[in-house]
Formats: sequence, C-alpha cells, structure tokens
Amino acid sequence: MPVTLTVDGQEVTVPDGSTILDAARKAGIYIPTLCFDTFLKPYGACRMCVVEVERAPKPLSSCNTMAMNGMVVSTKTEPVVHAQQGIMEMTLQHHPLDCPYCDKSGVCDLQHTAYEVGVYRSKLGSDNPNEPDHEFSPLIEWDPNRCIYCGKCVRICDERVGDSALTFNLRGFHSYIGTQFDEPLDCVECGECIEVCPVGALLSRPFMHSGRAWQVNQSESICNHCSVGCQMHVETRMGEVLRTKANPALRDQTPVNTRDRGPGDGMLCTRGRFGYDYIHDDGRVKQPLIRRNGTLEPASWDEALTLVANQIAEAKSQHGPDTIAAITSGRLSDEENYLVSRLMREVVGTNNLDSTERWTFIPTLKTLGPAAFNFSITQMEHMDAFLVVGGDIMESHDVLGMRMRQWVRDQGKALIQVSSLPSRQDSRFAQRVLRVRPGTEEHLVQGLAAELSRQSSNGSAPEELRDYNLETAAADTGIELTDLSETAAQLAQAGSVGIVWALGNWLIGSAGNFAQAAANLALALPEAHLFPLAAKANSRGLVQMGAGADLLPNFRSGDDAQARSALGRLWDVVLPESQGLTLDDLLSGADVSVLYIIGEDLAASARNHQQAQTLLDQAGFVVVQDLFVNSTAAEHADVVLPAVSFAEKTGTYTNLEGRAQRAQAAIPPVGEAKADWQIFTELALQLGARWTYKNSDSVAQEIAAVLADIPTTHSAPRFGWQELPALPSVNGDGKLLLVTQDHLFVPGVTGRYSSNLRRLVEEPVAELHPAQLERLGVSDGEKVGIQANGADVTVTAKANDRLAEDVVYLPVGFPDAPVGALLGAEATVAVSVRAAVPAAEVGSAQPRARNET
Amino acid sequence: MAKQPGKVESAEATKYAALSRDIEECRQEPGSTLDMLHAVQRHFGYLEPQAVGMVAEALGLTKAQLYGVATFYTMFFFEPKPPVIARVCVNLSCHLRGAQDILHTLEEAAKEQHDAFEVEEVMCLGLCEQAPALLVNEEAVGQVSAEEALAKVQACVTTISG
Repeated sequence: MPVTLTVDGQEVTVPDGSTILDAARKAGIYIPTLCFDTFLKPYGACRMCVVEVERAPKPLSSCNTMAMNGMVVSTKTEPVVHAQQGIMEMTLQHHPLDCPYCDKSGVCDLQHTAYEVGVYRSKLGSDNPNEPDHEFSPLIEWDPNRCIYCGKCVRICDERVGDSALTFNLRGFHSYIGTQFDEPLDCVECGECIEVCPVGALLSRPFMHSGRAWQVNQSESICNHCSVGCQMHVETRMGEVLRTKANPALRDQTPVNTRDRGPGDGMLCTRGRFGYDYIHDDGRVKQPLIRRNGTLEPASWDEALTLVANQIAEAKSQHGPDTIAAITSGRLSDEENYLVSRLMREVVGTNNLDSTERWTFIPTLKTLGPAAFNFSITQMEHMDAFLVVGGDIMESHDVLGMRMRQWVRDQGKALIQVSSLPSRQDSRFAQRVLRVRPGTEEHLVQGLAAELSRQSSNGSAPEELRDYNLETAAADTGIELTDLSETAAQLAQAGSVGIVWALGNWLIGSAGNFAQAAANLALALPEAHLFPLAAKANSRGLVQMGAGADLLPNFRSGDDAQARSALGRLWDVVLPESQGLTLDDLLSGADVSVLYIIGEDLAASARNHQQAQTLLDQAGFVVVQDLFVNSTAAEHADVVLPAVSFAEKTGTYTNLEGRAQRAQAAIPPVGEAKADWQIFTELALQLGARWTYKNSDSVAQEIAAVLADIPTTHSAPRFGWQELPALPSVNGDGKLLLVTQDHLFVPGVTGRYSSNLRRLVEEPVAELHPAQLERLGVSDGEKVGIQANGADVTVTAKANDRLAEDVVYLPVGFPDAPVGALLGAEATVAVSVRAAVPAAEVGSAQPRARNET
Repeated sequence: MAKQPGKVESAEATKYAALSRDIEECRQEPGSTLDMLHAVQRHFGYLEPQAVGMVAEALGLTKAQLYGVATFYTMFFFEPKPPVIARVCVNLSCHLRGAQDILHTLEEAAKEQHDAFEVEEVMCLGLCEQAPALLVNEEAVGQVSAEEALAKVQACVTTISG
C-alpha cells in the first residue's frame, strides 16, 4: 500500500516502508544527513536529518521515521534549521578544519553538509584531541581527530562485510573507533570502512596524499581478480592509476533505490580495492624482448612480431599447423579470447588452443552441460540453504562470500560448509561445518545423494548409487556418521538448496567427478540448484568464446559440424577439423614447434610441474605474452611480448553468471606495451590475414553476430545418476595430504606483483596442526620442506589447531612456493614434510631427510 | 616448543577449562555476554584476550565486539590487576566528608607497598548516607577515617595474600 504525505507543502506518494527522508528525496527536497547511508540500516545517531512533523511533540529524525498517510512534514522551519546548525557546530567543535590537507576534501559529506546548513565554525570553539593517527592495518589508517563518530565504518563491517572487526571502544567523550584489544584489524581487509567514511578519518594508506578529488579522472571498470565481476571505478591522475574504488553510482545516496547494484552489490573486497598497484610495478615489461645469446634483450615491436610471424609461418610450412599451440588465460577479455581463437583456427589453421580452464571449468561444463551455468546471483539469494563445498568462497570469491553472510544472517538462510580447511564462515555463519578429508569431497556429496534418494524412494537407491551410502561416505571422508545423517536430514527439510562450489585448485583432477556427484545430489533433493563458480575474471567468457581445443563459441563442442561450418562461414575460411591439443595433451608430451603462452605463468602454475618443464624445454620456439617477465618467460621464452592490464585497455569480461560487463581503458598503456587484442591483430596481419579491427569494440560487434549465429544448444540437462571412480589411494605411509586453496590476499601470480597485497602476506606459509609440528620437531615460524613428485618446496610453518592432523595447507599463487610443482597428475597428493635442512642445502631436491614423518 | 615449564602451563589450562565450563553454563541463558565476561575476569583477574576469544566463539560474536562492550564498563580490566582494589567515592557527600584524604592516604600507601593493592576514584556508590564511602573489592565500607580505611584495605590484602 503506497503512503501519501505532505512534505513542505508538496504531496508525495511513496511505497509502504519508506521513511520521511525517502519521501523528501523523492520530492526533490534536500534534508542534510551525516550518519545516513542507503547502504546501511537507518541509525539515527547524528540527528542532522531532523524535521518537524505536525502533531509530533519534538522534531523527528527523518532517516528512521516511517512515512505515514496524512503526515505533514516541514523541513525548513526555524526550529529545524536551528537544530541542524547546532548539531553542525557541535560536530565541528571536534573536527579539525584541515581540509586543505585532507584526501576527502571535495567529496566530504561534512563539507557538503556544513555548506548546506550554513555553518563553518563552532561557537563552542575548537577542541580537538590532536592525537596521532592509528595504523589499523598495513592498508588502513584511522585519524582520530577527523572522526565524527557516525559509526558507518562499524556498521558496514557488521552489516555488509560481516567481519564486525571495528567497534566503539570506551564510552562518552572518550569513545573511539577501535579494534579488539587495540590490536591490528582482524578482518578481510576489504576497506569498505574507508569507502563509507564520510570524512577523511579512515584512509587508504597506499592512496594517501596522491590526489585530490578534483584532480583525478574516473573510469568505469570491472574488477579483474575473480569471476564475481564487481563494478568499480579506476581513479587516475596523469596516466597513473591512483586507486580503484567501488562504483559510486552503485552507492547512490538516493533512497528508494531499486537500482541493480551489479553482481558485487556495489562492494569490493581486498583484491578489488587494493590489488591494483601491479599495474605500475617496476617489473612490468615495457617493450618487446628477444632472446639473443641466451639473454632477453629489448627489441622493437616490428622485429619481435616479424620474428614470431616468421617462426609460425616456417613451422606451419615445415611441420604443419598442428605443431603450433597456444595457451590463453581467463584474465583476458572476451574480445581477446575470441581473437586468439580466430588467430589459431583461421590464420594458423589449428585447434591447438587451450588454457588452465581445462582442469576445472571445462570438465564441469562437459559433465553438466551449459545449462548448469545459467544462474544468477539473485537466484542464489533466493535459495533457502547453501551447501558450500571445497574451496572457501571467502578466499576465492570474497564479495559473494560477504553477500552470502548477509543472506544467512539477515534472511535466516542455512549454511553448511564442507571443506578440509577452516574458513572465516565457520564459527559465526555456518550452521554446520564438515571437515572433510582432502580429495573426498565428491564422495561426501555422492553419499548424501545416495542416502537422500533412498529416503525419497522408500529404500531403493538408483542402480548407479547402489554402492554408496552414508557409511561409505563417513569412511571415505573421515566425518562422523551422525554428522552426515544430520546433514542429510537437514538438506531434505531445507526447502531449496543451493549447491555452491568454486572451480578452484582443490578441484584439479576431479572437477568432472565432483560435478557429477553434485548433479546426483541435486536430483536426490526435492529442490536444488547448482552454482559452480568460475575461477578467473573471464573464465566463463573464455569458454563461451570457444577458446579451447574442443570448444566453439557459445559452449558448442569442437566436433559440432554445424557450429564449425557456421563459424567458418562468418570467417570466410574452412576451419580445421583435426582434434586440437588440449593442455593435458601438451603436457603429456606433444611435439610442439611453436608454443604461444598468453597471460599464464605455466612454469609456476601448472599442476604437473615436471611435464610443464619438459614441454617448455622441448618446444622449438616459445612466445610469452604477459605483463611481467614471469618464470616461464625468464627461463624459456624466445620472445616476450609486453601486454597490458585491464586498466589500460577496453574490453568485456563475462562473470560467473554470464553477465558481460565492459571495462573502460583508464590510462594509456605503460611503456610500449599493447593490448592483447591489438597484438593478435597485428600478428594476424603479418601472417597475411585481412582483419580490420580498429578497437576492442569492433571485435565485440563481431562477437555479437557470431553468438547470434551460433546459439547455445540447450540439450536437456545432462544430469543423470552416475557412479564415481574409486577413491584415489592417498595413504602414503605417514605422509600428509596437501591441501591447496586460493588465498584472498594472493590473487594469482599477477597479484603477487601488487605491493599493497604483499603487505598483507609477505611470504607463503604452510599451515599444520600444532601436534604435527611437534612431531616434526619444528616450532611455529620455522621452515619446513615439503616434498612430492620430485619437487621440494621450503616455506615457513605456522601452527593452526583448526586443521586436521594429517594435512598440510599451502596456498596457491605464490611464485616463491610453487604448489604446482608438488601436484602431480592426481587430485590429492600425499607429501613428505620435514624440518627444513640448513640453508646451504635448501633447494637441492634431496629425498628423505631426518625427522621425516 | 617454546612453552614454559609444565606447572605454569597447567595452571593456565585449569583456568581455561574452568572458564569453558562457566561458558557452557551461561550460554543456556539469553543475553549472557556480561556474565561470560565476568567469568573471564573471575578466572584470570582481567579480560585475557584468548579467553575473550573463547567467549566470542561461544556467542557467535567477534573479539572486537566484545572489546567494545567491555570497554564501555569501568569495572572490566584489560591487564592484570593487584588482587585488592579500593574504589573511593569522590562525589559530593563523600568529598565533603574527606574522600580526598582517604584517596591520598591510600595512594601513598599503595605506592609504598609497591602496588600491593590498587586505588581508583569512582563516582557515587549509592552510599551517600555512609559518606565517606569506599568499596574494598566487593565489600562496602563507610563512615571511616583515612586511617580506618587503610586498615580495612590492609586487612583485605593480608587475607587474600596470606
């Protein structure tokens, strides 16, 4: 029922549940505010928004007083203005007017409001504590003098982020914004508190004093660190990225805001807000490099591209196009993945194009079909319960994790967390935590599926699940049977269940099996939906563009003759029919004369390190196209082509929901670097193609035509009862199981070049149970050596009593601790851990040392 | 590895175990935050951070939230305190009847005895008719001279440490 009221003589109708402030703003009437934020629940602390309401004895705060039928509201009467001016004077009494030196000047709510209410100093004089700044964390600083105690930071941390790491400490005049026991912040370091601070009290330490609001340019962009696709602004000044911040349009202060706030709901996480400075890292390659006499030396673009083109042409004519292969990346835009596919298929004439999506996204797609990726975050929000399995989404898809916390806490949704590692969700958000033995996640899910299908069909499980039940699941996963049966009972009663899993490293080697088990569980439940979360910013776009050996646009299969001929018609060429080499084929010893690696540090990130080394060693000619001279480039590249970051190019990125979002170039390329689409185009022209792309948008237009011509074939969802292969044997005589997972502060190899994020995690750390450390004779903070598959990684050890005793956790993404080197071809690896040998011997891959478990 | 000899450790362990029994008892009641914080202070003499972490876990709150609550109250401590605390009222009636003398005497004595007890100024204890009044730990003492007050405190120190 809409409500009609009068504000300053103007009749306004607003939806039920609106406040007086909502109504006034709808009527275009300004009411000053300080502690109000559409992003937060009304608080009514600052009293700046007072108005007079007829028949109300005193002025009312409009931000938290509901509008009612027939209300007569006045916003500009003498008592209202008097009250507002008084409040402003009291606020200014404790606020230093150091605006000339403040980062916030020009976009400061206190400045705006003081201007509007017409007060610039306090009759009460100035009484500022003049205290030094507090460093809340390596990235966040608090200036107690500027704080106006509106509590927005405390509230956003609680309401939106869910970390509740900031509070009001002490009371009355002495109260201040602080942390637990005045220690450094214990939170995800997302910096939402900085974003929401109305004055310059909470500050980004990397950004401080680098530009005033009126000196910076803003460009709309999309965060490139994971697949949620949070919309953001890149702030630049004179060709340099100063910082990234949430898109202010999404945090519009107009109430009654029904605007779609995008996949990130207007928020950013640590990676998005602080992980931008790799763009200007000194390690950026600024011009092409060619290896001469064993060293990489600077060269011109002409030289480099001609060399690459000649090598490709020569290999093609001497050994055939199928000896040329490319590896692309989910960090590249849609346009670029489309063009690399066109380059390889049309110009080179081979289907040898793949990426690390081969290990997670593609097997999931092949098992479930494209329909399984047809979901939205809004749909997720409407689930009654979440079963989150495997990698922690607070680490891999942080903003989605924060949103899920809100759904759990504010809407009473149930969260069941299944993981081998502790999560920030465990104690305060998850109703149930199942600590699963690494590598047995799919057996847990399959066991639940068998039990639930048996329950729903009065005892007869489908033929394929005959061998599974909760007992087998308990034995396989190491979880108590009672926990499993309670979980099954809870899921059966839960209403709609969202089965959520991140397509991350934990899935390598078992992605297809897990997807099958998840589909089985979905079939066994009355109402369930699958939410496989893509890993990289454009993992989904890469696959949709057909940038895979056996893929064509719109998730069509590589052997789909109809799609192939349609694409061939559009490109005016006959496309190769031969089976392309997948990344696995390449790693298991294909004969490659030219290997073109784009945006992937194969030597550091491949799961089968030995094979990657062999591939790189044996490839006749290696081209690396990247922002940095990564380990692949340094050791193996014959040519390095300098590419640009997301901030230096325009392009679209398709997020995990399939939403294609455009990121706008914010700065010109650093040095002589070029956008990947431009490099592909120039290379294609050198190889005799007649491409006419002028910019990324012209590629986007072509993609639109291609996608329209080759629609997704939504065959009936390929869900069906399926057996799983036997549990891999992981019992390695006293060895530990290696668990790897994304680390929020380490978004891939590129993220390691961000010095902001490096402040949070200086070095890779292996976490073990304290009892295990004691057995090894290692203290917290000492080094351990971890060995498997002929590789030896030495890292600092840390005790974590929330881990199981038989596992060791090592995060991925650190070039200095190449987890990939430890992982062989299997999904779960048993590793030997021992006290690290003296420094002189570190690095020599000596098997078996003293104290080995 | 770098743990202290067994005895100290087990004394600490006993405290944590006792605390976790108290937490279990308190959590049956809604709104038991302050009760649990009091339990921490009872066992440790102050709000020991790790113990506050246990309370946070039990309540589904963060340590920061509990710190915010605890710092609001003046009778929670964040560092170890002497076993005896004398809280001297300095409000009007007590002031008029010599609260400052008591305060001064106790403070001097505390200093001489190397902080065997602690002296705090507090606002009204609700004992105006007994002015000048003070609390020696949980015992209310009124209508005393500075010397009598000190004797009372000394007696308490002797009882507790003896």
